[in-house]
Amino acid sequence: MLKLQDVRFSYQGTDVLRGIDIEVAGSEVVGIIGPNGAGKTTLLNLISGVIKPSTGDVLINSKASAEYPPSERARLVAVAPQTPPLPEWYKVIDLVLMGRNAHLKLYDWESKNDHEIALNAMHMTDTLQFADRAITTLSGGERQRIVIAMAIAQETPLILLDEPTANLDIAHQSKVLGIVADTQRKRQGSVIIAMHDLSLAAQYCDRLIMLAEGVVHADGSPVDVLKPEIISRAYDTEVIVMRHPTTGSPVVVGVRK
Amino acid sequence: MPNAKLEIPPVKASYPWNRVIGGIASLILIGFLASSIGSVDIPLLQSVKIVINKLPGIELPTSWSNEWETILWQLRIPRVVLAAIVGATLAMSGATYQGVFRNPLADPYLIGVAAGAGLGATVMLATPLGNLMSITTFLPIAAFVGALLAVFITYSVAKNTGGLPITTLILAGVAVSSLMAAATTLIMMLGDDDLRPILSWLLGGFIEANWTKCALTVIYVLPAAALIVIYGRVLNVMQLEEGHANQMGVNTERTKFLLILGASLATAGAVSFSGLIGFVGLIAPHAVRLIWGTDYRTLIPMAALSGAGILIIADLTARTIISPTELPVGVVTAFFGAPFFLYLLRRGIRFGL
Repeated sequence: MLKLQDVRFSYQGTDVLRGIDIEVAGSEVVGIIGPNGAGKTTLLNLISGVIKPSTGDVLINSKASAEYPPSERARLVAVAPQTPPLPEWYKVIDLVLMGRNAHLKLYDWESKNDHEIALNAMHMTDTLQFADRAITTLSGGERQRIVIAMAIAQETPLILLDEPTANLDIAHQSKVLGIVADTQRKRQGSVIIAMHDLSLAAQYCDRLIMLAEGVVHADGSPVDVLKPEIISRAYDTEVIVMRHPTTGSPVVVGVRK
Repeated sequence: MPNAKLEIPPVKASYPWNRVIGGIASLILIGFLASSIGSVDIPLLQSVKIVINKLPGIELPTSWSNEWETILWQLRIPRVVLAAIVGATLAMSGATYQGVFRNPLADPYLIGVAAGAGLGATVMLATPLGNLMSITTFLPIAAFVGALLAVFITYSVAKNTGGLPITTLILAGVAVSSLMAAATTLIMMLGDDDLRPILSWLLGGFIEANWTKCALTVIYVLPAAALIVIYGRVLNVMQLEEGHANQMGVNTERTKFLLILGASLATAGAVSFSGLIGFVGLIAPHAVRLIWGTDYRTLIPMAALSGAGILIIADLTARTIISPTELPVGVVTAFFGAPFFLYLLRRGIRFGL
C-alpha cells in the first residue's frame, strides 16, 4: 500500500528528513513518534502528496503520491490535519459532507448514502449532536473530532491523523483512537498517527516508528521501540518505562530533574 | 451516548429551484415596475401587455399608443434587462472572487479587475487597434485581457506577503486600480480623438443600452456563469485551508485558475457594456449569506438574482432622483456600497457576517 524509499526533504536549506525508508502493507495501526521538529508532520504531508520529496520516492500502490490527481489520491488517503482553520458559519454536517467530495462528480449533490456515511462518521466521533450547529460555536476538542469525522467519511484504505488527541479529554482520546483503529481494521486498511503521547501510542498502535533528527530511529512493536535507552537517546532525556497494569503495554513517564 | 432525540438535518439533495424560481418572479416584477416609471409614466398593466404582445404568436388588442411601445421596447426594457444582466454578473463574480480568495471583501471593483477591464477596453477604443476590428463585438476580449492582468497582479502580490491576506488583497487591489486608472487616463489624453464616448462609458451607466448590447453581454457571461454554477459544491470545499482542500480531493490550482478566468471573463463582458460600477459584487452576496447561508450552490444563483434586482433599482434611482438630469449609476451604488464596505470592515471581517 505505502512505501517510502530513501525519502529526503529539505526546506529553506534545512534537512528535515534525511533518508526515510518505511513500508506499510496489509492492515496496520502505525504510530509516528519522536521529539518536536523530528519531521512527523512533514512525513504525513509527503504521504498525502501536498508536498514532494526532495529526493527519494513516496509510493502509494506503486505510484508516486504527488503524481496522483487529487481526487484519485483522496480516495486512497484521508488526512485529519492538526487544528486546521475551518470556515466559519458552515454547519458541522456540511463540513463532514465535504469528506465525500472525492467520491462525487463535479456537479453531483451528496446522495442519501453520502449523508448516512457522514452521520455515521459523526456518530463514531461523538459529534452527531452538533450536526446542525455552526463551527464557530464549538470548542477546540470538538473541532478536532469534526476534522477526524471528515477524514473517516472519506472512506479510504489509509487514514493519516496528525496529533489527533492533542485537544481531547481522556475519554475522547481513547474513544476516538479506538474507533479509527477498529474502523480501518474492519476495512482491511491502515492508520498512521503522528502523536506525542508515547503511552497512548503504545496502547493503540500495532507498530511504532520513532523519528529523530530526520531519520527512522526505531521501528517495531511498541514493546521493542519503547525501551528506556532508545527513548533517552532520541529525546535526550531520562525516562522510566513501566507496564500498563491491565493491558501490559509500555507506559512511559519522565523523570523530574 | 446522548442518543435521545437528535435533530438530524434533512438531506439537501437537489438544486434550490423554489428559491431560484421565486427570485426570477420577483425580478420580473421589479423589472416591469422599473420600466413603467420615468419621464413618461406607463401604467404597469399596459407595460405587461406591450411585452406580452411582443412574444411570438401572441396578438393582443392594441390599447396603448405607439409612443409608449417605442419608449418601452426600444429604451426602457433593454435598459432594465442590461442592468439586470450586469448586476447579476457583478454579484456572481464578486461571490466567486470571495470564495476563491477566501476573502469576504473581494469585489470585481475593489480588487482592480473592473479597472483592468476598463484599461483593456480603452486601449481598444482610443488607439488605432480599435479601427481594425468591429469595436463592440470584440471590446470584451480586450477588457478580458485587462481584467486578467489586473487580477494576476493583485493576486500574486497578496499571495506572497503572508501576514494579513484579507486586507492585503484589498490594498493590492487599490494600488492596481489606481495604476490601471492612471494608464487609462494617459491613453485617453494621448489619443487626439473625441474623448466624450470613452469618458461617458467610463463613468458607467445604461443610458445607451440596446438589445444588441444585452445579447453581446450574455454571450460572454453565460459560459462563465455555467462554469461557476457547476463548481458550487467544490467552492464550498475550497473554503477549507488550501492543503486541506487538496487532501479532500480538490485540484485547488486548477479550480482557482478556472474560476478566476470565469469570473474575470464575466466581469469583462459586463464592464464592456456598462462601464465601471462598484460594490454590487459586495452587497448582493453578503445579503444572500445573511438570509440563506454560505452554501455556494445557493449563494451563486441567489446572489446573481439579487445583484440583478439591486442594479435595476439603482439604475431607476439614477435616472429619476434628480430628473431630468441622470446620475451615473456607479454614484448610486457607491452611496450604498461604500458605507456597507466600511460596516463590514468595522464589524470584523468574517465570512457570513
